[in-house]
Amino acid sequence: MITEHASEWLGKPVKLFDPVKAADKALDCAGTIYRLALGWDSKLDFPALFAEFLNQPNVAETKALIIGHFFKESPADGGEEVVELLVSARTKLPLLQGIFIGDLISEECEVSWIELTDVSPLFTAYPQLEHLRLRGTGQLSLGRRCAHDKLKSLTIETGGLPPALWQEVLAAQLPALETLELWLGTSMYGGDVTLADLEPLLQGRRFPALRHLGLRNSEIADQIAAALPQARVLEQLQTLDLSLGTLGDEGGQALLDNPALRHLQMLDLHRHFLSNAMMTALQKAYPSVDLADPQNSKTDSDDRYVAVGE
Amino acid sequence: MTVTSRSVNKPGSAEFGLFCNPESRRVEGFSQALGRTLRQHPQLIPWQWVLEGRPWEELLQQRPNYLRLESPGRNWTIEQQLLVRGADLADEESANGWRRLPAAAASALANDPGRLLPLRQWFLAWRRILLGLADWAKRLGLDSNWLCPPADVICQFDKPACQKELEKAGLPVPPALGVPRNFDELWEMMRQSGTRRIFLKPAHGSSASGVVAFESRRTDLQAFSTVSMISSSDGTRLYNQRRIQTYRGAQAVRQLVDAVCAERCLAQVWIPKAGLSGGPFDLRVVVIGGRARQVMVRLGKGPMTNSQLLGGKGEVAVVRERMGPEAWERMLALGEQAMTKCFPASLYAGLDILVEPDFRTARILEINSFGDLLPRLLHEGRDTYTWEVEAAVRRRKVQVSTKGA
Repeated sequence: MITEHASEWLGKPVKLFDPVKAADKALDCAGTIYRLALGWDSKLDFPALFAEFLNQPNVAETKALIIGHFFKESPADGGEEVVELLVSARTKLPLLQGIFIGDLISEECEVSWIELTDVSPLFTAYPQLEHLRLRGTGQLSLGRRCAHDKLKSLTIETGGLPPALWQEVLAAQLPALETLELWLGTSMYGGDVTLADLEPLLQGRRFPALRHLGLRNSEIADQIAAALPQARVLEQLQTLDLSLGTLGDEGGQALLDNPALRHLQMLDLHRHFLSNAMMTALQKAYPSVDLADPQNSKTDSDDRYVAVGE
Repeated sequence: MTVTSRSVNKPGSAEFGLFCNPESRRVEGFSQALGRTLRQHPQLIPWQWVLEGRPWEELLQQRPNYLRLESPGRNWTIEQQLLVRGADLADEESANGWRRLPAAAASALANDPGRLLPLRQWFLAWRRILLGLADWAKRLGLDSNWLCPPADVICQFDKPACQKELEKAGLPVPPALGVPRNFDELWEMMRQSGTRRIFLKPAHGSSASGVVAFESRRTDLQAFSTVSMISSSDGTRLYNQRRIQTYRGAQAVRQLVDAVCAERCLAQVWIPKAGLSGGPFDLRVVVIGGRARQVMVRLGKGPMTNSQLLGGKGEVAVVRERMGPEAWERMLALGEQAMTKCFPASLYAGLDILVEPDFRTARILEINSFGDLLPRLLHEGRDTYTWEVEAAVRRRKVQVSTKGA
């Protein structure tokens, strides 16, 4: 369950863009990231809110932008419009390096009901884009031949990552990509990516610059951990993130026995189903491991659920 | 049932009369506060005596200067007696077909914890009892002695009526869609008002009992509820469970909504709540003598935020910090205004207040007559009951001096 909006992104504080307040006090577009979002009872629609933002005097200094609650009635509406609005704003946002679409909390819309669309026009419109973060699924697509020279981080947060979308990620030409974070989710919500599907990423050097890999919120976390000893991708990684999923002692043991993980600067396993004994062993083997938010380790593996799966 | 030794009162030292289930910890807490503050014992009038028509007035050794209504809950005998009594009471809304249970069937019920029993029928009996007590007090000229008058308690046990009071006073609440009799009526209300997400709250229920959070997307439906539906020989039974169930798809949601609507429910817009890392939350604010006192942050594991659902408590300091002093004070003032404007004769109540994700906008969700049970939660060194005793004494002094003048 996602309960809070981002309060910080890319090292900068996030604030909700309030067009009424902005009339009195100029925005700090260089130092702050603004979230553009409708309230549940907003008078404006999203295009009008977006236009208000673009009319702000300092808007050209905007480094990154967060799109929150963007639809009025149905989450099935508006995903495409958001991409179109961003594309058409490209000359007014010459410094834009980060885009986060879909910062909605579950009280606004469950993650699996946030409907996004084809975001590939953003890659063409913003050749200097470095960070793209997407929450939701629907018809979300990176385009069939995603290619971008500058993109450093790509994050896709879902309650169930569709296999077709995974194939687009795998096919993407992203030579600068350092961080890849995918929330695999659960098959209840279309998260049908299998270990076999992940193999090409784990085995090869699909993304030459990759340093940080997150396969998060996954119900196959144990399987992923067990497959890692053969994963060549580990050689290039500094951090590995298997948090928010259903990782239990089986996966924990595999991580413990895997010498190829010893060089990692950070192993993030928080929100897991590991036993106390396993946590102690992992802590000893990996001093930098994050083991926060333990769930009941006695839960049967069939009954474990991912952190964000509605 | 025998009256416990606690209800044997010494003359001259028992100004407070409590209508209550004597075994409840509410009574224990209030009696302790009374003992500490005024060195008095309350005179206890068990709900059972009132319901059975026993000569409960004989329990009063003196005319109480203070009359307090306590919850009749958490006692199966009382709950069952209210249901049996309610079976023969006429409902001014009988045309709506709210679920009823014949007296014989109600008498034959066994205690089945969690089972949702006809709430409207329970309310009809509860209202009848309270109106009877109001008449009694009036006859004796004691009607200004109620800490909270029966009429206010009746209103607070009727969510659509309470919502109307709050709206009339211009206080912010989640907009209401109405009282739908079934899924189709609810769907039409949602369509007409363009509302995609609603809460369905049993009008006469307490805590999260029977509450459904329901959302739609195109033709997709899903609902979250503590209610689970169990088929039995006499039809489908509803049970409240601690774990929130998810209902997906039109058929499952319709079945649930139809069943819960039969209890008489208020449909309200589901306004997003702010969250802490543990989950979304709402605030329980106890207003006593016109001032907001105790505040508790109630975290939800899902859309329901209720302390009985094991979501746990959040840190008040964290919420206050996130809201900032101005929005925090405005939220407290909102609770105080609600009591002053809508229930000026009530000395206290527990209000549920929603904070929107902007951590600024607050709205009143509910007002609970018996929302003052917050054991060991102190405000300026006193628990809710101690504040209530002090406020009652202070109010009476003012009343007496105005009468004298």
